[in-house]
Amino acid sequence: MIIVHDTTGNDQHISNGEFTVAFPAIIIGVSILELPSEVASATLFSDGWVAILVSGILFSILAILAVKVAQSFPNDSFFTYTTYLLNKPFAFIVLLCIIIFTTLISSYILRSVAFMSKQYLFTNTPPEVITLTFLLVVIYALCGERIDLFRLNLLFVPIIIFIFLMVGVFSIETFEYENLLPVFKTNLSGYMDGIMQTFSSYYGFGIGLFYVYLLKNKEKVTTCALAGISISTIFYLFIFFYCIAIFGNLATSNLQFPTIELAKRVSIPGGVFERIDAAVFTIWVMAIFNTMTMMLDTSILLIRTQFKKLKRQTVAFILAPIIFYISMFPQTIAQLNSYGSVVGNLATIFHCLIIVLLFTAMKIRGVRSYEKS
Amino acid sequence: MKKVRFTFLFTVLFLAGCWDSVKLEERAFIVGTALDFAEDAERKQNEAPTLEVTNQIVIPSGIGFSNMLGGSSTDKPFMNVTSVGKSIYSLDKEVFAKTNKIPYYEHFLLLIISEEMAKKEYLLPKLLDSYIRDPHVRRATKVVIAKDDAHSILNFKTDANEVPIIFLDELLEQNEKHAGFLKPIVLGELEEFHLQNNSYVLPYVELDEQIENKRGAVFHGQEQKMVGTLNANELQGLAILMGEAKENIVDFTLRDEALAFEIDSIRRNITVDPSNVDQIKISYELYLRGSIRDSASNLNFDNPYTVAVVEHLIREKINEVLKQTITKAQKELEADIFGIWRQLEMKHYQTWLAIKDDWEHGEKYFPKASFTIDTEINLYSVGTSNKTN
Repeated sequence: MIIVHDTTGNDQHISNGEFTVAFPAIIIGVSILELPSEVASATLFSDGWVAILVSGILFSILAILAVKVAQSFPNDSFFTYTTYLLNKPFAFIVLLCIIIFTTLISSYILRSVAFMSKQYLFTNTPPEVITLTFLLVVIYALCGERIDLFRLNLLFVPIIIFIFLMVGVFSIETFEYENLLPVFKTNLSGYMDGIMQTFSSYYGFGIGLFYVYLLKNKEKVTTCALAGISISTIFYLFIFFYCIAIFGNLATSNLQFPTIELAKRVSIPGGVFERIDAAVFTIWVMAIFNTMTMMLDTSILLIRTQFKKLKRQTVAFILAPIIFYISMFPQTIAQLNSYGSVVGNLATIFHCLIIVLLFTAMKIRGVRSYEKS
Repeated sequence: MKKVRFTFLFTVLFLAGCWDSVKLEERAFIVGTALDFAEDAERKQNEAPTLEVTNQIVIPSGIGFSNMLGGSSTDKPFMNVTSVGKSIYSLDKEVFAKTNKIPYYEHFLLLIISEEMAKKEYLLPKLLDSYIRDPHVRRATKVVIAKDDAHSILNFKTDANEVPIIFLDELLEQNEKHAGFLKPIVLGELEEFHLQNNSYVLPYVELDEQIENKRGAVFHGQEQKMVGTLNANELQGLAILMGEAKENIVDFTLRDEALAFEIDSIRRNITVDPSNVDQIKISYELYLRGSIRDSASNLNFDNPYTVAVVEHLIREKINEVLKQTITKAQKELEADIFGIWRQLEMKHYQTWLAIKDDWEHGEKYFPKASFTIDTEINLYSVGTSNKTN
C-alpha cells in the first residue's frame, strides 16, 4: 500500500491513503483489550483465529459492498442516495438510527476510557472528570476540519501498530508456541459463538457509505476498503495469537483485559523502560481517540445533511452533553460490558442489514435510470 | 469560534487536577512480601487461618551511590512491615497506617510463602488471588517457597548490604541463566496452573548462613497443596527432562577420578503412546551437547575410544539421575511435574479428555505410565588443554 500525499489539488478532499487508514482507525478501539478474552472463552486452544479471520472476511465483503453502493453515486451524500434507492421516510429512519448508534457507542467508549484509566492509572480521580477531559479533547478535534481528523488517523495508526509490534518483540521470550496446539478442536457452535463475539470489534467497517463522495479519486476505493479491513484483521490476529501463546487459552479467557496484561508481562532489561504498559496504555487512548472522533464525525456529517445551515462546531457542541450524559449511566464493569456488547452487536448487525438492503435495492432499481433523471 | 476552542483546550489542563498526584517520597515501594501463619491459639477449627504478612519496603536513600561513596553504610536500604490479619488486601492497607506511606506495587518482584502454608490444602491458590487481581502487580512476579519462616528471609543481611528481596530475585535469575536451573515460575503461570489443576515445581529457598536455592517444592495439582521437595539431583533431572538445563554441570567419576561435564544444549523429542491407557508409554529422546570442564584424570581426549567411554559414562550418570527423578515423581509424589499431560492434550486430545480426571488421582494413569529414555551425549569440547597433569 503506497500512501501518496496530494500537494497540489484541493486540500479538503480525502486521499485514498487517508481513506484506507480510516478503517483501522475506527475499527481498532476499545475492543482490542477484551477481544482475545471473549474469543478465547468461546473457542478451544488457539482456534479463535478462525473466528477472527472469518469475521474479517465477512466484514471485508460487506465493506466492499458498502463502497460499491457509494461508488455508484459518486457525488451524492448517504442521505441522497438512500432516499433514491429506498424512500425518504425510510432513509430518514436509517439516518436517525445510525446517529443514535454512534452516539450510544461513543458513550460506551467514553465510559471505557474512564473505567480503564481509573483501574490502571488514577484511583482517586472521579470518572466524571476523566470522561469530561477526554470528551473535551475529542470535541476540540471535531471542531476543526474533517481532513484534519483523517490526517491524525494517518499519523496515529502506524504508531499504534508499531507499539504493539514492540510488545510482540519483547515478549518473544515468553512466547510458547506449544500453547497454540492442538488445532481445530472446537465444534461448529463454538466457532459460531466466537464469530459472534468479534462482531462488535468490527464496528466501523461501513464508513465507506458516508465518505466515498468526499474522496478525490473514486476509482480504487474497493482496494482501500479491503486493505483497511485486512490491516485490522491482521492486527487482531496478532494480538490474539500472542495472548494465547503467552497465557494459554484458559487464563486468556479469564483475564479482563488480556492485551494490557500482555504489556504488563513484558519487562525490558535496563530499568528505564522496564515497564512498557504505560506506553501501551497511552497508545490505546490514542486509538480510542481516533475511533471516537471518526464516529462522531460521521454523526456530524449525517446530521448536517439534514440541517445544512448548522455549523460543524454547533453540531459537536450539541452532541457532546448528550454523549456525556449517557456515558454516566453504566456504573459497574458488568453493566458497562453488557451495555457495550448489546449496543455494539446491534449497531454492527444494523449496519450489515442496511448495506445488504442498499446493495440489493441498487441492483434492482439500477443506477443508470437515476443518472438520467 | 477560535477563542471558544482554545478555552476548551485550556480547561482540559486544569480539569485533570491533582487528585492522583503522589510524591515519590510518599510512596512505599513494596518489592516483596513474605506470607506466614500467625501464631493464633484462639483459632477454632474450620475457621480461616490468621495470616502474618511481612512487606519489604525499599528505602531509596539507602541504596545506590550514598553507599558506594562510603556514606552511612549502617543505613539499612529496606524496612520490613509486619501485619497480622485475615485477608491480604486489608493487611495491605495497614502498611499505610504503619509507615505514613502509600503502598506501591509497580515494582513488586517476589512473593515468599512458608512451607507450612503451601502444605495446607487449597490455601495457596486463594492466597495468590489478591495478587493476581491487583492491577498493579505484574504477572511476572516470582513466587518461592521458604523452608521454616518466610519472613526470616526478609531479614537476611547480604555482604553488600543489598535488599534481601532484590538479592534473592537476582539469585533466582542467575541460577536460571548460568546454573541450568528451572525457570522460576511466575504469578501469571501459577494462575494458569491452578485453573487447569496442574502440578508444578517452585523454587524452595532455605536460609542458613546463606540463602540457598538448591531444592524444589512440588505442588500437586489435584490435591492443591505442596506434597514434597526435590533434592538437587532430582531438580537437575527435571531440568534436563524439561530441556532447560543449559550450563548445568554433571559430575561423574572414572577410575576414582572426578570429572565434570557441562551441558551446552539439549534437544528433546517426546512421544506419548496412549493406546493402552493402563500403561501409557512415554519415551524421551534427549540429545545433549556439552564440554568437559573438570578432569582430575590424565585422560587423552584425542583418542576416539576415550571419548566414547567418557560419553558412555556421562550417559549412564544422566540416565541414573533421570530415573531417580521419574521414580520420585511417579511413586512418591504422584505428580506430573514434567507436563506429560500437555503432550497428551496436544497430540491425543480425545484420549486426554477421557482420562483427564484420573491422571494423578483416581485411576492414577500417570503413576502407572512407563518411561523410556534414550540419551545421546555429544562431547564437542574439552576446554583449552587436553591434559593438565
